[in-house]
Amino acid sequence: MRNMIARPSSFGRFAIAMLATLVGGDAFAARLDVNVIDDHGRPTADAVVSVIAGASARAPEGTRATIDQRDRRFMPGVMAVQTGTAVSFPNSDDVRHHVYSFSRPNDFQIKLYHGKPSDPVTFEHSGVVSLGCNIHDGMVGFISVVDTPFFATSGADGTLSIDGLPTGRHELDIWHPDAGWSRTTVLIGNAGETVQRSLVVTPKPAPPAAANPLQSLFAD
Amino acid sequence: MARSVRSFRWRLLLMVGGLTVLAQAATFMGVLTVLGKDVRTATAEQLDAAAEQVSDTLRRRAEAIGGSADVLVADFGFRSAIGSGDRETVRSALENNASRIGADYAVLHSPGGRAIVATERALEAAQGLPPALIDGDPEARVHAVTTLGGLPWQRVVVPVRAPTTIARLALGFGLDERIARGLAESVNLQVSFGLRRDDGWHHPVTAGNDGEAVVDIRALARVPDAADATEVMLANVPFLVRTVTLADSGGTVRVVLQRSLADALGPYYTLRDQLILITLSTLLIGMLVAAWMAHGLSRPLTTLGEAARRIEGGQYDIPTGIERDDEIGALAHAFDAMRTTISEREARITHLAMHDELTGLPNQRMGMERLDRAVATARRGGQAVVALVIGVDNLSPIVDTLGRSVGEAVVTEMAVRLSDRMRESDSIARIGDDSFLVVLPGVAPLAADALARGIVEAVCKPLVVDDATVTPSLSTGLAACPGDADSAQELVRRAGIALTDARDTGAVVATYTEGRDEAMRRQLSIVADLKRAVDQDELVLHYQPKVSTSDGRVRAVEALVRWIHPVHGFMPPDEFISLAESSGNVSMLSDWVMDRAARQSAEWRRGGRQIAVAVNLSALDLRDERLVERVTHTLQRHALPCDALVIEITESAVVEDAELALRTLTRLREHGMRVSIDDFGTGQSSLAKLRDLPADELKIDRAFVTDIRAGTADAMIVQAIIELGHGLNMTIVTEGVETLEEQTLIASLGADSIQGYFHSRPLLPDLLGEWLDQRDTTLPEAA
Repeated sequence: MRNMIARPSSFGRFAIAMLATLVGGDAFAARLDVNVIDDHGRPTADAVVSVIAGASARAPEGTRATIDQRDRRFMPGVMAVQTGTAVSFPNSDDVRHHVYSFSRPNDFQIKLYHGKPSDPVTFEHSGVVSLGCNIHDGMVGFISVVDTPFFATSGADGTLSIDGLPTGRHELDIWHPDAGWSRTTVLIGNAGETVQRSLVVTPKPAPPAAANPLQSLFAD
Repeated sequence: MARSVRSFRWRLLLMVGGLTVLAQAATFMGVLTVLGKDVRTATAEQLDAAAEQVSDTLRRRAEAIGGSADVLVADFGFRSAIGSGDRETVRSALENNASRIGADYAVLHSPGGRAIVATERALEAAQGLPPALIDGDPEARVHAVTTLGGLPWQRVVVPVRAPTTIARLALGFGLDERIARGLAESVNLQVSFGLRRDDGWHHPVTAGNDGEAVVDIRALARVPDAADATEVMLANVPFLVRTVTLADSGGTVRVVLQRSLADALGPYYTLRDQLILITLSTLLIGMLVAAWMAHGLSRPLTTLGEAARRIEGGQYDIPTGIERDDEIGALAHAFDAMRTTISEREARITHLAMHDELTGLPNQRMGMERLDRAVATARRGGQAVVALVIGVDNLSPIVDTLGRSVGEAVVTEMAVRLSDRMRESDSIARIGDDSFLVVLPGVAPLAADALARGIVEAVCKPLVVDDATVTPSLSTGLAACPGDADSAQELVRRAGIALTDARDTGAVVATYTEGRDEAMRRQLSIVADLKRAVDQDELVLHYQPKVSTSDGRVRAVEALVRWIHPVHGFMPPDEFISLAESSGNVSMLSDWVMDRAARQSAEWRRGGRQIAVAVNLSALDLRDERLVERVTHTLQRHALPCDALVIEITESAVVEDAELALRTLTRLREHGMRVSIDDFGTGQSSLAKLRDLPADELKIDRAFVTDIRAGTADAMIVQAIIELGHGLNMTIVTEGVETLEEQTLIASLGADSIQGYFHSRPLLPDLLGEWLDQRDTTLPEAA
């Protein structure tokens, strides 16, 4: 299940290994079961796996997602959406939150008042969006915007499943807030096949995994 | 004397001076040492406190910067600008905000530490982009002091979170001259910032608080790293230096705090100079005071010293002249009291030495002195001076019968009476127990006798002492100068001799007769010479034979002593024998005579002549209890029988102290000695005594023999004596027979022996021997 993990700015070193198990599925679509573990073999939550099968696809119109603000935390802490999804921030807290992100091109900011619903934010571009609250420094959330319909986020047990995968060899991206991106491939041989994989997520000490808006500046 | 005083003065001066110097020096040294240490300690403490303060200040500045940085990176606008990703936006945000908070230095680093964007000044300082951050932890908040472009920078690095760390912001402030001056002013020291380079320390920044000399920066390079205050010489000026190495600089940046000791010691030197001045002035004043005191002390001492010398010299009348209230005054007062007491005592002693205690009259010494003066005055003035020696003749009897106190009373009264009779110019002295010396200057010698008589008669009236009436009997001897003597001693002596004459003759006043002095002196010398004569055999015995009238034989001789004086020649025996008797020396003479006579007798006996030797003894000999022993010892010494010596003694000698004389003579006869009474007929023995006279022989005095003629009274007396003597069993000898007629007559009257010039004068033993030999040849053989 998807658990939100409120992650403070510091984290220890750990390896995340993902174990994916392929589980058999129906004739048209294969299913991918992934077991995400760290490099100590522990189940790792909040890993976003996206499979690039086919061209980029935007989410159908009207696709909605929600990240709530409760107890001064983003709930969920990590969420994956397809590009074009409108994410709303309901703010169930009794305090104001000023949510922002500098993750271009998805940068936005929205002032959330208690009890006053706000317009959802549509994320048109893929990439990781780091969410912060200007008022509450400790509030950190991530939205991984992918432009593939095939994505899922690992739950507390470190597992996730992605259905409807076409056969063929596909690129598989794993992103974890602490580990950053890594890519691998998956082969779907048969429709209806269930592929199981284990994926290891290894956090990188530096630079930080979050998408850095200044990345371009780092480049030079 | 002056030197000793001066040395006392000098000692006092030296002592006071020395004490002052010592005290001052001790204070001086103590104060200065403490001060000196104090200054250094204080400066060191100041440096320590300053070091603390500087560290504190810098730390707080760092914290302030950090605070500013925190605020800055929390600012959404700033974060948006940074998040824009646009280089220019970022740079402008950096510049803007940096200047807002007054930071010289703002650099944005990547989370990995690499510098991305920097402000102009930072670029300038670093000459390009500053170096990457060493500390790789993006979340780290770092304070550091770095060196950049030859300057130290105080820098804070904080993460920029949006919401995760997207960058690290470094904000910094240069440690420049402004900062240094601020620090210098707040700690009141000279402050320098130093950077460590390969070749040592380099101090680009140094500042002092206003007014203080700023040390050459280059000199600072030699300052060692000293966490404790250290003294170093910088450009020949002593400095106390402390360095603070900034820990968050990795040991590359330090703060040097220095304080010129020359300045710090300024007040110390001032104080030292003042102390020297005080010491010197105190010394000077002290010496002056000491000198004054010493003078004040030594002057009275000198005065007292002079007073003592005066007293030593016998001058008692001058007071010390010191009138003071203090101890010196008391000393002077005591001195004066001593002076007067000594003076009085000396006067008393002098008086006693010069005066007779009983009568108060001048004593002999003083009397002689006055006489001396009177004689001198008289001789100068051509005047005469008369000396009277007045003696109380009966003083001894008075004392014997009435007691000494009566005697003293008599003498005292005599002194008073005599003094009353003195004129102004006369003087009187007591020169003996019973004698006074009266000096009468200016009296004509012819009038002196009458004057003396007048005095004596007036004085010798009876006086009453203790209910006893005493009549003093005075005799006076008189001598005048010039005339009888030329000097005081002579005058007194001769007056004394005159007194003796007066007493002898019974006159009240006797004037000195010329030659008496010499005569008396001669007599004295004879007595002295006699003793010598006995010892040195100047005496000699002559022997006059007593010739028997019956057979003409000589059975005895009389020994007669003769003295040939080396100077005076032949000495008349009457003179020297009577002198010997009167001077008490006769036994010496008698012993000699007996011994000689015995010796001669022994010699004759050895030669076959049995001759008895008659020796003359004096009345004094008779009174000697030991006479008998003396005689027997003499006989024993020469191994003579007891009839070898005959003891001749004059009739008058027997009469004197008859009892004792008779006892002695009796004892002599008991021992077998023969006794002969010499000069019989002229003594005052009564016929009654004659009966008891223990004698064997009578010698009729020559007065009866001289010119004796038959039928005269002399012949009658002689005959009577002869018959008397025979009747009493004595033999009779007649002396002084010179003519045949005398011899014939006396022999016919019945005398047993005859002694006289008719037969022989006294002869020396050898001559007597010859005479005897010659006689023997003419006489018939002894029957």
